[in-house]
Amino acid sequence: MSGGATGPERKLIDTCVHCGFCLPACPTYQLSANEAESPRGRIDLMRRHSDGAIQLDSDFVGHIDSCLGCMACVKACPSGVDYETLIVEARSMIQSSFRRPGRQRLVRKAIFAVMPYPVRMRPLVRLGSLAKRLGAERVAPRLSNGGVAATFASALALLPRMTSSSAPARGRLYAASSPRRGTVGLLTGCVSAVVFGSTEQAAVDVLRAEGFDVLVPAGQGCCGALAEHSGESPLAARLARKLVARLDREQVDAWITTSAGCGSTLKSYDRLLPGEASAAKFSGRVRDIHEFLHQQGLRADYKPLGIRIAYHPACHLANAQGIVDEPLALLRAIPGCEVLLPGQSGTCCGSAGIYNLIEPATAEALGTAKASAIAELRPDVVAAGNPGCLLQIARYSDPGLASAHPVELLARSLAAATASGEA
Amino acid sequence: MPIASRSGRMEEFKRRVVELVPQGECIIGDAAALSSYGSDGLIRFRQTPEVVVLAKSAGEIHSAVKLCAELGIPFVGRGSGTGLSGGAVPPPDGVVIAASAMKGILEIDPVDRIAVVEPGVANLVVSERTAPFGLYYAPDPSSQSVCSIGGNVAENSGGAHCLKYGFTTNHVLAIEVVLPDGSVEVLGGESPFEPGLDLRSSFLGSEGTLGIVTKVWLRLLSRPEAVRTLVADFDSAESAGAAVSAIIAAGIVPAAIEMMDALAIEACEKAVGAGYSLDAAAALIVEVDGPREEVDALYEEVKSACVSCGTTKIREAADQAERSRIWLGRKAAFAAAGRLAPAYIVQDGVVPRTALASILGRIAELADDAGLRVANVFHAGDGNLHPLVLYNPDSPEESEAAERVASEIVELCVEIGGSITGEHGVGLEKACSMAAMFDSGDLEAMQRLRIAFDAQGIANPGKVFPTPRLCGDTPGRYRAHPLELSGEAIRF
Repeated sequence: MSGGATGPERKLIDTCVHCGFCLPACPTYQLSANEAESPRGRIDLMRRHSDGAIQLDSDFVGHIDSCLGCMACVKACPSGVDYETLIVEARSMIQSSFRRPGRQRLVRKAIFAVMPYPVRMRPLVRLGSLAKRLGAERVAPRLSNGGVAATFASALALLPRMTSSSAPARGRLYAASSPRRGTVGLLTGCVSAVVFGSTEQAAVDVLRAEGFDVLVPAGQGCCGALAEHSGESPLAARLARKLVARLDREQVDAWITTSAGCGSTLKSYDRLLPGEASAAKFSGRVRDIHEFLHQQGLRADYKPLGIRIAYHPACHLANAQGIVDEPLALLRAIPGCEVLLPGQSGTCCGSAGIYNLIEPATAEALGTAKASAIAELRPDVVAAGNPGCLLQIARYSDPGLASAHPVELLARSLAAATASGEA
Repeated sequence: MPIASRSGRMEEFKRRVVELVPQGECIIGDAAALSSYGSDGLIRFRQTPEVVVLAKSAGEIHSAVKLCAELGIPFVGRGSGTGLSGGAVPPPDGVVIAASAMKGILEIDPVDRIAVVEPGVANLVVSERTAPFGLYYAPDPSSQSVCSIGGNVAENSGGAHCLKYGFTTNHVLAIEVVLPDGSVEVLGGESPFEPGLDLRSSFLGSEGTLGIVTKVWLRLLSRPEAVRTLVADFDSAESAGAAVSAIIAAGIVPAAIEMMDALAIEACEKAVGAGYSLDAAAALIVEVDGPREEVDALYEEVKSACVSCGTTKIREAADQAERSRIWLGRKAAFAAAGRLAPAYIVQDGVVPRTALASILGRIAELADDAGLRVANVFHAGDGNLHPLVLYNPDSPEESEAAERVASEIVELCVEIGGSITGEHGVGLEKACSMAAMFDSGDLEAMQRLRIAFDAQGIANPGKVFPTPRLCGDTPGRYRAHPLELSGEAIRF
């Protein structure tokens, strides 16, 4: 890949004709009305930098940092600009050629020293949840005048009060519970593995009920998505290579992920590891769970739940992977459910990987707007196909609002079937 | 006024403007952000401003312009920056006063059918917000999802449906403006007839040379009872052009008649997948709207006109979704041309409708001679051409050839009785071509009007009017000025 010290390839930059069709789609432009906070503005900065007309200074970096990476602009672009590659390579250039102020460096270091590693993340999350129950949130903001303490406060605010411990055991093959249609592997990731064990369990339950043997390999690590989206390309490549090496020899028909943010990176390892055949082969088999279930067709017996579901389309599902209708179709397959989309449903919730940890002000503005659009629907539960979005929305919503990954609702509907069957 | 140096006055402006814009934002030291205001939708022209004022209210625009007037600092107003003639490119040593943060719809009066809006609101948003009342705002530039009402006022923007409904000027009842001397005026009024000289009309389409609009009273229309849309394919541009003439000659005024040639069809299809036929040499999109019975009758007449002119296929939009898809393809055309070539120049000439078919032939000849490809999309109903001259900017020869072909096309339009611009404005791009259309008497008359508004010449200077430094005031294609060649002046 390009990027590195030189920045995005000029050819890629020049596919942008500066028409501005991306402006209404961009959450940061909508908030700031500042050209430099828009996709075409950011691409123009890359162009001007490549011309040598502007420096790689803290202003430039600030405008690139502030991009959520939600890719709403990609959907809006008539010229087919590959913005994802542009922003990733611009960030990679920044990380390799720009010396950030000490405080920013420390925050990023702390994040990437912990998040990709479940072994380090798990005890911290448990500690954080405990601290939260004890009321630490009221104390934390007073500690935080920027830097690591502020990041800690943001992280704390995002944590659920209880972490789920019901994740499926690793290193096991869960046999299909109805006529067998194939074998899939479940990608467990990093943050998701620690905070969202119940989503993984639900995925296993639903896939089994749909006739798939589900392999949950032990020793998986982070896929590299968080690092890639933040310009930490060498770290991302290292994590990706390790994951591919770990899973390369497993015999599965597809690798399933329940996280939209991970999925979009898992599917494009060829960008992270160009020319590595095993990486491309692995990426070719990755499926988002909504995509996979919808492609295969639901056969299991889903029983009524009778709830109002607000569905939030995660940017990395809808924009980065083009998975728009599948989650809605799956949710609507649950009898008795009303599935609703909030107003401005295409706008990012502000989660965006580690964005809500490093750009808290923008994240808060978007999170608050998203939560109130969802609240207007008066749902019983908000559903989203990305763990980060669920944490972000919950943070700004009424504590009484339940949140769940769509596959958890499918699992709940299946369980209702078993219960009524036994009754 | 004490005569301070230019840079001294700019320093004073920077110092004082910050306090005048408490709600909005002033971009002053951020070189990256300033640089991103160097161009509008036409990236060939660029000039980095000294300051960008992101105003939050009419009062802030007012204060900023007043300070410009006091210090004699040139300024340009800016909406969404989607203009296609370089009209919002900052003047040298100038400031940008942007209304992009002023997106409020202040009032909707569904009975009198008036919407009062701030200048930064996007064109399409007005229609979306008034839809619950069965109303909409008719002018629909292809960039309507982005372009601002303020920008529409400055450019007197058109769009596909202006054939039947008219341009922006037909839909703006009144405007509140800040004039270049810093005074605030309301031009026009809520009633359709205002006594006295019509200054509102002078301002509409003045491309920022008479001041900045801060509030707009828009006329809304009832949504038509029925709309029907078809795409008719033809095996030659000539027969498509003949069909346009046949439709108009039959006394029908469709809501829109758009034409695309094979290359444009290919680009739009790649971008949007609107279902256009890739094997057609040309296609017409024809839309009729109005009361249902009238629409049904006119629609049949349109179809038979297409058939009599040899259409090879007629695709009828079955529902709103299909109609939207057809229009989405057409409206993405300019940017979609980015898929055919790394760069292109959009032209905006107008020709008599009867000359449509012949000018397409002439354009093709010009393109062939230069070894370039030209895609054509245009508002055929009113003879407004948008040839897209495709080229590779990495090749200096091709870039130069493309500029040459583009200006030859415009000159051709004037030669056969048309005009240099149909809706994109003159801006920076076509200032030199003004002399091809107007003699010095005409231009002087326009200048006198302009000076009546702007004695200091600080409102978007260098636009619309040819200047000796850039153009030598001679009609014809761009020729390098001797000062440019000697390196003493540069062309922006």
